[in-house]
Amino acid sequence: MTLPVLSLMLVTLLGGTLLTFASRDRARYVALATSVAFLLEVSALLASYTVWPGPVNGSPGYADLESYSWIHLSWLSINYTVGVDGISLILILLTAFLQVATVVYSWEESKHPEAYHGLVLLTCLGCFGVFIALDVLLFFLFWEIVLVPMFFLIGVWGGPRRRYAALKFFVYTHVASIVMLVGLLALVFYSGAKSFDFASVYVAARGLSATVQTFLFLALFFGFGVKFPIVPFHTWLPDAHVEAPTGGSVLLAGLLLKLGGYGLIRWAVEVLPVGMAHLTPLLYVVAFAMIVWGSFVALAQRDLKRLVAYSSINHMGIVLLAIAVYSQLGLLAAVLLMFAHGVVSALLFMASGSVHHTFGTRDISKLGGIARTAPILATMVMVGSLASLGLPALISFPAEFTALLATWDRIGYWVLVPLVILVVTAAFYLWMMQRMLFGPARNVPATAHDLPWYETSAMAILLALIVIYGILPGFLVNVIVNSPVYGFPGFP
Amino acid sequence: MTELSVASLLFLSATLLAIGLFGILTRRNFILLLIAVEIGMNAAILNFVYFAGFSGTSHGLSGQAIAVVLVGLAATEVAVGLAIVLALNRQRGSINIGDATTLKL
Amino acid sequence: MAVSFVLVGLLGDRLKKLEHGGWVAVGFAGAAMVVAVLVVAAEMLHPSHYSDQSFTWLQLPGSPGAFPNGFSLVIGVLVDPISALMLLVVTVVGFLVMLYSIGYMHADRGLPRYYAELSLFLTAMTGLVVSDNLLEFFLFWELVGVCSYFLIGFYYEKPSAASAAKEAFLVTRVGDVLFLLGIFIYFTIDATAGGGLGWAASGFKFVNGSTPFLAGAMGGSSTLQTVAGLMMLAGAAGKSAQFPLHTWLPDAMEGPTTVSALIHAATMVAAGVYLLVVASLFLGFTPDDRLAIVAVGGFTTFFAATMAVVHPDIKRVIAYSTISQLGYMVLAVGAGFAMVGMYHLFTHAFFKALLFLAAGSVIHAVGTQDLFKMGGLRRPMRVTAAAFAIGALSLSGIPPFAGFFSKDDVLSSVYTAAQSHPAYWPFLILAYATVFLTAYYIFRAFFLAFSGDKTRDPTLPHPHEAPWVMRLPLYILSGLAIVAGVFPFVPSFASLLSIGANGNVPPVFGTTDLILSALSVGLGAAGILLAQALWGNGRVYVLAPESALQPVRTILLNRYYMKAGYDELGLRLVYGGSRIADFFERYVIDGTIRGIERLAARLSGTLRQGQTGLVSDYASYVVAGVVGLLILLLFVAPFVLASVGGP
Repeated sequence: MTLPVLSLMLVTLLGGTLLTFASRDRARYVALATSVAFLLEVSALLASYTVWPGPVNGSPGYADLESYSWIHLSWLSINYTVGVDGISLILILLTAFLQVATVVYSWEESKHPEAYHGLVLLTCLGCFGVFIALDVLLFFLFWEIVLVPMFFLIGVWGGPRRRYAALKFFVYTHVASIVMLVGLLALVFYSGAKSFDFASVYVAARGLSATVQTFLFLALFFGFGVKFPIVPFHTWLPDAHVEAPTGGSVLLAGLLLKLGGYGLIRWAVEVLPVGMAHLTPLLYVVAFAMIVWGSFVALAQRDLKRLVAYSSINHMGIVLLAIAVYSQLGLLAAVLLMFAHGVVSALLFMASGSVHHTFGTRDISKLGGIARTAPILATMVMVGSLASLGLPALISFPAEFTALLATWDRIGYWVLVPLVILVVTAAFYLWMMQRMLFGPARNVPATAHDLPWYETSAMAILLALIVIYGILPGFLVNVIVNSPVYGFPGFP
Repeated sequence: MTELSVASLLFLSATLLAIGLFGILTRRNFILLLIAVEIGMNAAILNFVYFAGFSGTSHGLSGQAIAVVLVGLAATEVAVGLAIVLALNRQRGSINIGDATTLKL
Repeated sequence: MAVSFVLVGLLGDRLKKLEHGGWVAVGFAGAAMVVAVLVVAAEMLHPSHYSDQSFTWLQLPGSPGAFPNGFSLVIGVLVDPISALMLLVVTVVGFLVMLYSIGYMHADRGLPRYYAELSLFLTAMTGLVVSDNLLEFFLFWELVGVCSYFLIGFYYEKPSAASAAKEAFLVTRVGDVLFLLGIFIYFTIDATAGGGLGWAASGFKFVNGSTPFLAGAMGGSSTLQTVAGLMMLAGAAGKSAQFPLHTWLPDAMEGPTTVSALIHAATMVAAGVYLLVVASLFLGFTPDDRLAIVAVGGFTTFFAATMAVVHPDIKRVIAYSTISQLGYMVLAVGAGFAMVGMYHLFTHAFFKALLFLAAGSVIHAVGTQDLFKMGGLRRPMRVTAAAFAIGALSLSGIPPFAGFFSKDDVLSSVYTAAQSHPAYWPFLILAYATVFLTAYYIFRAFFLAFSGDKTRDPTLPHPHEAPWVMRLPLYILSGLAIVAGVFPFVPSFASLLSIGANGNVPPVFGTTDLILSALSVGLGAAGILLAQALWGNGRVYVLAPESALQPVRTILLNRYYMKAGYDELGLRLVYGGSRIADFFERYVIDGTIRGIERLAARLSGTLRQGQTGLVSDYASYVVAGVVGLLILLLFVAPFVLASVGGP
């Protein structure tokens, strides 16, 4: 009997979360210890993951698979089934890194630190659960777990309009969750699967007719899409980001958006390829809309956080595009880009948070000359922006390159749309830097100082990731392609 | 003894239920309301008895047993209901349900 | 051996940690130069030698269109004659500029940043030069771009510098994304060529082992290839500031003069030309591409020179001249003589760096860039004046200076090509006209700055000659600006310039048409004489206000309003569009949401009327619900099921 690694990790997080809630002024130490322990476990998991185990009875096989019967009826069984493949491993790695960075960044959080850190850990636990769950009900359970702590993070620690933003966030994502649940249940029952397990759903879904697949895919696309967030259901995102505390923004952009992408890949693209093929035009339209819209609206923003939020929509649009082209290359690009965007947007949101509490405002038009006042902060903003606009040797480049190449290979000159938008993306970042970092210093409060050590360390972690994986993306790529989708016949 | 048809017996139950429902919807007096509820409930109990009789012994005495339990239940319900009526009367000085539209006292 | 370049550069970037990293940076740059000289020597000993070392960077999965079986991307170092030559240019100018910076930048703040960025630039530039495949080329291409961004914005507290840096990045970005598309197309062309080249298998490299994939061997549809070639041209136009993406280069003069000399004259902007040379050799251009390249190069040459004629800023005059000279190189590549373009790149790097450094010496001494405030600098700054004169003569194409040989080669190669392509004629004429303009504007600058008795603006500080660290590079570059032109007469060096495919061999020197040479020299001399007549001996030629040339002058000073046009485009169209989008976002999309919200609130208000608290009311709802359900189950459901064929 092999070690139930994933469950142990889940227990680590759960125990850490509970301990964090319970410990009063030591909460941050507990949180940090938990995060580091989790990161070490993830590293060990990655190190032991060499190659995907191969198909099992016509369904994908997963590493570290565990399955225990949970609810068993004669006609249906619901199991606690967890397992990982290359795609989920990469996103788990992202979770672990962002968790550490967020805890470190929020080191001096003074308002109920135990609750704050506990909620951060709980969010990460939910995300981890989503990435490992291979059972419809378990997946949904973790999916919903993520919502609650995020709701409180925004609603309690947020900015002036936090109640509105938290409610908007909750309503949007919850409505989407319900549609997703209906879609998933319909998937199970229409396909006649005997269990809620991914494997049995996968096999059973092969027999679905094209029409049914299309409708199911549509429901799942909407359900996962709001988290993406697809245009025009995206307006919760800027509001949530602007009002959320920095840690909340980091998790929101870094992890929550990735849940949508992951869910779409795992539960819709892999399971319902025929349905997806029918909806490809829709996916393209939505992806292009996100890319163009996100970039253009970002250009008009004056609030740094809003700007980064809209750039997230743009980047997630490229993720969707890479998924929509439906090829191995595209899928790789999508996962790679999710990782890249997770790290880069986390860095940018941290930097926005630091700008806010150093200078008292995030309004780009009121700031200036940060490069002189706070050079480290300026460097962070600069590297984050340059990474986000796809500079080579930084993490986004290999991802965007593969995404665009995959797009070119499938739809030819349409690739000019995202390519031209790359210029607009560069424009809003450069313009922001010009106004905010450069020029004469303006509106510098007497208390302005460069970053405290914990914020520097948190951002340094992300910075290191951006550079290391930017130069050597092979680490990520080799893990990602060790996934069932890549070994399965029929996947282009 | 002539056999009663199922339809006619069910018709009786339905009539009782209709009377009960009519009472529930129209009476404002709490006591009358309780009586109406009892009438409606008896329709259901009668149904149990009919079908227990028609199905013979194939299910043992379960139909009759349920009917007996329900009679007991109806009695307790009336007891609780009357207690509420008394409390209401003491509190509000009226047993008109129009005066008791909130769940708190 | 060649790997050490990248290492050297990388180590150079560590200098940030040293307080005065300048000398360390100079040391590393010097070491790089020595290695480059060794590489060139090795290449000269083994003509047409290709040595390639690479590793797989990424192994990517497939895509059903052109790469069903996946492909690999490699990072490697390719040393061949062209890269050796370019390497020499980059490291020599890089070293000299670093040395010069020690004196020039002496008083500035943020020196560690300066040297680190300059070292990073040199690293990236060496990486670009020795790239053995397109993707790696693009990677370093972007890196040099971002170094240029940082260095233009070195004085970031000056709003104009910050704005110029942004403009440079954005304008080149337009070229870059098209270049990226070009790379995609070449990937596809190669992958669908049936693998005859094995290009895809080897990671889209330019060479297979030590055998180059020279142009012409590539298959693929010619339309695709034409588009790909045009995309290469777009990328090169962005980087090398060719029309219509040229506007950023004059503004890039906001950076320190040393940066202008190294990046915006000698090396980085030449990367665009280098790309065209590489593409021409390894990928090949279709005839349509060539015509487009000739047109862009020829037009830019003339177009930029006209703007240089009137400008009062010494650095911008030289900047326009850079654009114009890059146009010559592009012209030569387009005409089919890639190595001639390379040759002009080689000589241009030296004399243009010389001009910039001499100008820097002037600016250092008098503290202004306005030519009309200078004057009479010849006497106090003899070395600088001589250096500037040598650079100017070389630029004007006067023998025996380096510029003469290469420019003559460019012109005669275009002439040769025009024999078989009549469409090239107008651009050849423009190129000749530019010879005259070039000589005129550079000597106008020379006379304005150096001739006369004293400075025209008496408030300027008393000029003095530069310190030795600044003079030494001037001496060396002056020497190179004189002799670099004759290098190809050394047979083993000439072998570097004669990569043997597709008519890229430069015309053999000496057999060029003597009449053509005489024509270009004559035009150059005429330009100098005109400048002397108008501006010599401290004269200032003032255009009469009512002169018919006045509007022309205004147009030229305003750069044909192209910069203003782009700004308007950016501001009105793009930013305006984004404001509209933002408005739409806030009021229409979010407004709809708020509308739904209000609707829900009103609906719930209505429904709340039903919550009377009366038990009998609730009871009637229950009854109504039961009746409704019964109707649904008994009457509606069977009907629906029957119509859809269900159970």
